[in-house]
Parts: sequence; C-alpha cells; structure tokens
Amino acid sequence: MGEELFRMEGISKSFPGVKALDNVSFSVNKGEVHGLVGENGAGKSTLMKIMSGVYSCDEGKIFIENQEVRIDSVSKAQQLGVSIIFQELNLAPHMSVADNIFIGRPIMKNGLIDDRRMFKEAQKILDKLGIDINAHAIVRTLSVAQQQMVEIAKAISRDCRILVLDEPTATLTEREIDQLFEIIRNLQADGIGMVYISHRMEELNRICERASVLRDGKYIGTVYLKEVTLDKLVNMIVGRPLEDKFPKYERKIGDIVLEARNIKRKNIVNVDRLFVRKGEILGISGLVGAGRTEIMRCIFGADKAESMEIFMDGKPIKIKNARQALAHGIGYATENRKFDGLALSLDVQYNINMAHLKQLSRFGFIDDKEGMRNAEEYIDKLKIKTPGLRQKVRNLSGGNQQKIVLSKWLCNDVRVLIVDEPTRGIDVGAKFEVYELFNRLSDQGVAIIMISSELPEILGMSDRVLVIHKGTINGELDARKTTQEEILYLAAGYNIMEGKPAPKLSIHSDMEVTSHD
Amino acid sequence: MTNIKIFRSRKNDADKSFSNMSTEFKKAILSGTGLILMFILFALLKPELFLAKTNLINITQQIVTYSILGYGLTFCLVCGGTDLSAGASMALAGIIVVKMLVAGAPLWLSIITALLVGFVSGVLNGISIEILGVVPFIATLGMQWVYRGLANVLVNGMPVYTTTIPSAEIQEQFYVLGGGRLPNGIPYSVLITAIYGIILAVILSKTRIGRQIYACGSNLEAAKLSGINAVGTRIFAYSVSGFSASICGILVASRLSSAQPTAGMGYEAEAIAAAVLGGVSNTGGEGNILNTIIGAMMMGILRNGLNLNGVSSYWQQAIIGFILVSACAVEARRHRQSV
Repeated sequence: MGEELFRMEGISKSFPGVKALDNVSFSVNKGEVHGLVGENGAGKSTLMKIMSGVYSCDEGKIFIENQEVRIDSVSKAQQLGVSIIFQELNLAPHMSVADNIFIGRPIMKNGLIDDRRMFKEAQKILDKLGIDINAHAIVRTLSVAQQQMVEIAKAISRDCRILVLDEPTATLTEREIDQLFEIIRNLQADGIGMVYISHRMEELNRICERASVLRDGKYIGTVYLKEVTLDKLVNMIVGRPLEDKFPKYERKIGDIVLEARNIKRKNIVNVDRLFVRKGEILGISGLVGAGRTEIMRCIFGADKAESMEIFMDGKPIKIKNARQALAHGIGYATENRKFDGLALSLDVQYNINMAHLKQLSRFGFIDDKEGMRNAEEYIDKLKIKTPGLRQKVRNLSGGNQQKIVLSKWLCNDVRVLIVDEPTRGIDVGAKFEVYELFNRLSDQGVAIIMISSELPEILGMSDRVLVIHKGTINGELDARKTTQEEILYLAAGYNIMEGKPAPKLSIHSDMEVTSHD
Repeated sequence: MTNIKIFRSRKNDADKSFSNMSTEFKKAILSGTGLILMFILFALLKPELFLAKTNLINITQQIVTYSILGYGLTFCLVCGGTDLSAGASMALAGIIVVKMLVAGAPLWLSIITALLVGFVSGVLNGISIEILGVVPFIATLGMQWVYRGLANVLVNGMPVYTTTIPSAEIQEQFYVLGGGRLPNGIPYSVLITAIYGIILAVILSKTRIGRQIYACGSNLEAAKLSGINAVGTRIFAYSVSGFSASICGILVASRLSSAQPTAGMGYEAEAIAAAVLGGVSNTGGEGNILNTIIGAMMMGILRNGLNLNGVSSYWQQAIIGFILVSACAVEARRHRQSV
C-alpha cells in the first residue's frame, strides 16, 4: 500500500442537541479505497462533509501529505484536491456532459467559451476513465449511474486527489456496479485515494482493503477486511448484539384494517393488493427508488393514483388528498423530516398540533390552552427533549424532531400509521425509544406500515414484510422466518431473472399471535 | 396534575430569556429600538419642524397607508407568497368608490362595493397562483396591470374629484372617513388602522386559518401532508391583501377628495419594505402584524425626516432601498447561522 495521502486527527463537531463527531481520526493512503462504515447517524456523512469543506469542525486537524491544511470552504477543498460525490447528484440537468464537467471554469478563447475544445477535453477525460458516454449528451437523458460517472469525471478534471463516494451503489444495478468498480480501479492505479461509504458488506469486501468504523460519532477502529469476520465487523458497527437493539414484544393481530387494491400510477407504482391488520407492523423493504414511498403517497392521497380502490374495515372509501386520509384515521410520517415533515421555523407546540388544528378550534378560533396541553402530553409520552414548547424545532436533535413528527399523527388517534424511514438520522438510544413506541401503539391496535432501508429494523420490528421491486410487490415474507439475504435477493429482482415467482404468505392461524423474543 | 406540568414548562420558557423568545418578538424589539433611535435623531436634528403637531399628524397619515397595505402583505409574505398588485387594487377601489358616489349611489353601497372589488381582486390573485399555478411574483405582477388598467379604463385615465358628488352632505361624510379627526386631533383613519390591525392580528395568531397560514409559509409540503387545505389557506391570504388594499384606497381617496388612477403606484413595494423592515420574513413562516406596524412607522418617519432635512426624493429612494437590502441581508445571515 502506498504512502499516506490524507489524515484527519481528533475531529469533533456538534450540532444543536447532538454531538455528531467526538475525537475521530481517519486516514487514507495513496491509491487506496478506504471503506467507511457505520450505522445511519454514526457520523460518516458529517466526517466527509468536514473533509470536503461543507462543514467546519469544532476541533481537530487535517493533513494532506503530512502538511496541515485548513479546509474552510468547498472551493478550498477542491483546490486541495478533495472532491465528494453525494447520493444526490449535483449536476445541471439541462446542460451537456461537457458543460457539467467544466462547470464554473469553462475553457475560454478570446473571452468566449471555446465549445469545440471543451467537448474534446471532456471526451478525453471520459475516455481515459473508461466511461462510455458522449460529451455532447444532455445530462437529463442519462441514467443515474451515468450521471454519477459524469460527477466522477468532473471531480477528476479538477485534479482531484482524494475522492469521497457516499453510497455510490445505492441506486445502481449489478452491471452498473461492475462498471463503477472498474472506473474506481482505474483511479486507484493513478494514485487517487478514495473513501467509500457503503452499507453493503460484500461490496466493501470486493473493492476495499481497509475499512474504518464509526459508531455514535466515535471512532471505533480500522480493520483489514480480509482478516476480520463479518460478525466481528457487524459487532463493531452495532456495538451490541443485534437482538438487544429491538425491544421484546408480543403482538396481538386482528382483522384487516386497511386494504388497497389495484394501485397504479404512471410506471412507478403497480400494486395488486396490499393490506395491513389491526395491531400489525407491516415492513416495506426494497431498494432506494423502488417505489416504496410512492406507493404510500398514493394510499395517503398525497399523489394522485390513476387507479386505486381503498377499503377501511372492508368498506370502500375514497382518498383523494391528505385531508381525507386523515379523516379516515390514516397518518403518514414522511421520509424526509426537513422536506415535508416539519415546519422548521415554527415551534414545538405548533408542529405537534399541525395536523390537529380542526380538533383544537372552535368557531375558527384556536384553543391555545388545549393546544399547549396536547403538546405537553406528547412531549411527556414520547419523552421529547426540548427546552420548551416555544422552542423552534430547527434547534432540536434528529431523534426529537422525529418524535415530534410522530406525535403530530398520534394526537389524532390514527388507526393506520405509515412511517417512512422512521429512524433515519437519529441516534441509537432514540431509535430504541421509537421502536418501543411502535410496540405500544400496536398493543393499542394501531396498524403500522413501516418503510425502511435498514434490514435489521425490518426484521427486528415487523410481523410481515413486503419487498418492493420496480413499483410492484415482489414477495411477501414472514419476518420471523426470512433473512436479510432473501430480502435483498427479492429487492434486486433476481427471482424474476431466474424465472421464479414472488413468494406469498398464506395467512395461517398461527400468525394471529406472534411473539419475538 | 396537568396544570402543574403546564406551569412548570412556562417557567422553563421564561428561564431561557432572550435566546428562546419568539423570533418575531425579538425582531420587533430590535426594529422597535431602531424606530425610537430614528425618532430621537430626527427630533434632535429639526426639533421645531419634526415635533410640530401638524407634522406628526402628517406622519401618521403616511403610516396609515403603509400599515394597511402592509397588513395584507404580511398575510401573503407569512404564507410564503407576495402581492405586487396591492397598489393597483388600492387605486381601483378608490376609483370605484368615488365614481359610484358621483353617480349618486349611497355612501354605504359605494364603500361595500369598493371593498368587495378589493376582496375579489385578492381572490383572483389567489386563483391564478393556486389553481392556475402561476408563481406569485409573476401572477401578481400581471394582475397589477390588469387592475391598474381597469382603473384607468373606468375614468379614462383622468382623476375623479369628490366635489362632483351631487350631494354636499355625502361629500362631507365621505371626507370624514380619511380626513376627519377626533376632538383631540387624532385622525379617524388612525383609529381604523388600529382596529383593523387588531382584528388581523387576532386572525393570524388565534385562529385556525392563521395557524394554517404559518404552516403553509414555513413548509408547504408538510402543511399539505398534515391535512391542511393549502389552496384555500393561500387564497384567503391573498384575499386579505386585496381587501386591505381596498380599505387603503378608500381612505386615501377620501383624504385627498379625489381618486386617481395612478394612486398607490409603487406602494406595494414600500409596504413590502415596511413589513420586512419590521421583521416579517421574506421567505415565509415568520412575522406578525406588530412587526408590520413597527416597520410602517419606520418607513413613515424615515421619509418624513428625510424630507424635513432637505434630502431630495431621489436620494430618499436610494436610501430606503439601501436600508431594505441591508435589513434583508441581516435576516439572511441569521437564517444561515441557525440552519
């Protein structure tokens, strides 16, 4: 392995309410692909954002080739040769590949852009990297994988020496992943150091020699992947045996509460039948972009389905918008708290009561006292940590924000609660509390539909699992009997390639009472 | 039990002092301090002129215009939109009320019709934004020309004077609205501004629709998914703006004893400036009526003070523009820090 390229020492960073990183150290050698692993919220992204100048650290030092550097902006990071490729790509979709590669510093001639040379240069970079894309192509028309490669070309064209790839394969097919790895190996040969963030262990084994583990914002250790067993690595990541991460419970499952049939929306959603029973937790698994969220948005009335029949307690109902869904006792805690879950500039009390205004108002006037009392009640019940009812939710930690999103729905006595990535970006302790809350709700007979990308969460919490692949249900599994491997196999649609049918459960009487312990 | 809990949390809130106060209130204190300082400065510079009773009344009349238009804009800004047509709606309402009076209609009918026209103009803005899907900036810019054009069409581009109202009695009654005063010298219009302001403040902070306006402005997606009727809420906000503009138009026509199709030209910009100076967020979700009143007072005093000190109106424009951008820059900075 080559000499050291990049080193971070004693990095600490706090956000309001959370210590995101605590004295973390990390280094990458020349020509190395260094894996960075940890649970969601472990601090991987924060560390990489510090490395690439998006955030500045509170404490700690950064060295490039043993020279101490100060990275206080993204442009400074780029000057120093550090580039990061996020999951959400940063390209101008209406412009050509060449325009995007040279964005911000086009090739000029006599004060005008020299298009011909720019396209030639861009093509040269693409060819050198072994990327089969025409520099004239409009970015919008490319696949996600191709766009990602354009991002890589863009970084390389800026003389990048250190490249961070944040879950680059999350939305790629197997073949595209192979192509990406080929490109990564080319870069490796050029002596570029890379940080590879991923949840997928087999990928890490294929592409990385070493991996560093973060947990709860702390540095746990660096291992040679060939020398470590998967169990050991998972143990380092999780910090305790998996079983202890999920509260024990016993469920009493009743009749079907909500049933949806024949949901169709463009070519994104195509579901024949989906139901959830009283007191049941229905896990929805699948790859990012498989259409999990889109199905639930149709059921909740947030998106308009071209066709959909919905039944509540066996009776047909109509849901055309969120208001009607709410009136039928359906709640939807969305995937992205900041985008469509919370009003960040408003306070705790406001947010908790946001879906509860009708009940709080008499002749159009809000009963403030009742609103305060309601907010108090849920702060108490869900153990939300906030300095006061008037605190802006922006200033709370992710876990507390998530609890506020949940209380927003719970105060309406929902019968069906849809939760989308309910524990994303919250710490382990808060996760456990959210799981306990779900168990309490299911005890009270609430049906919970839980979309999650975290397989342990799906297996540890749900009774039944639906695996979504390309907008359809590609498998219905018993959470007690299935494995992560089986879910991934179905999520990737391998059964379809092999011509096998999607598994289905026949509802036996023994499903009525399930117990996980 | 519950009572004890509520008590405890209130006490906690109080302990947090300034840092945990509502942003609107903090901003109101900040801009209020600026207002007082500005007042003292002008009072020291030209004591006899600035503090003269006639001048102070003059200022309040200016403030009345900024405030009432500003109220409506506060609703639009808080719910995440804007209304560039307010000045034009104001002119249209003024023309309609005076035209009807000249045609011999009773006072009450003329006023109600003008108010209704203002309200409808707001609803139309709301419809073009919410139902036709035009962005607020363009929709209200276009509607501004529609209303201004209609005002011109109605009077052929010429002012209408209240002296042409057939009944001298109605002439007098109409004048009292905007030009009349209480025995102690306070104009009726100030009273109207205060009462209307209180009503709107209550709507914004104490009613369901008020809460919905904040929710829509703070995070439209979250509001929709929380079962809030976002379309209706936002149309309501625009209709408040149109209604406020028509009140303003009637008062100004009354005070000046004439309705001009060019009245209120550019006032929407000054009303936005007043609201933002007072602390209403220009990106939605934050701000209240108190903020707007303070901002309107700042604008009124600033204009008047600069006038008295012989600053030309061209320079005034430049200065006010500069202050507005600076105020927004301060807010933008605060926003970046808190995210």
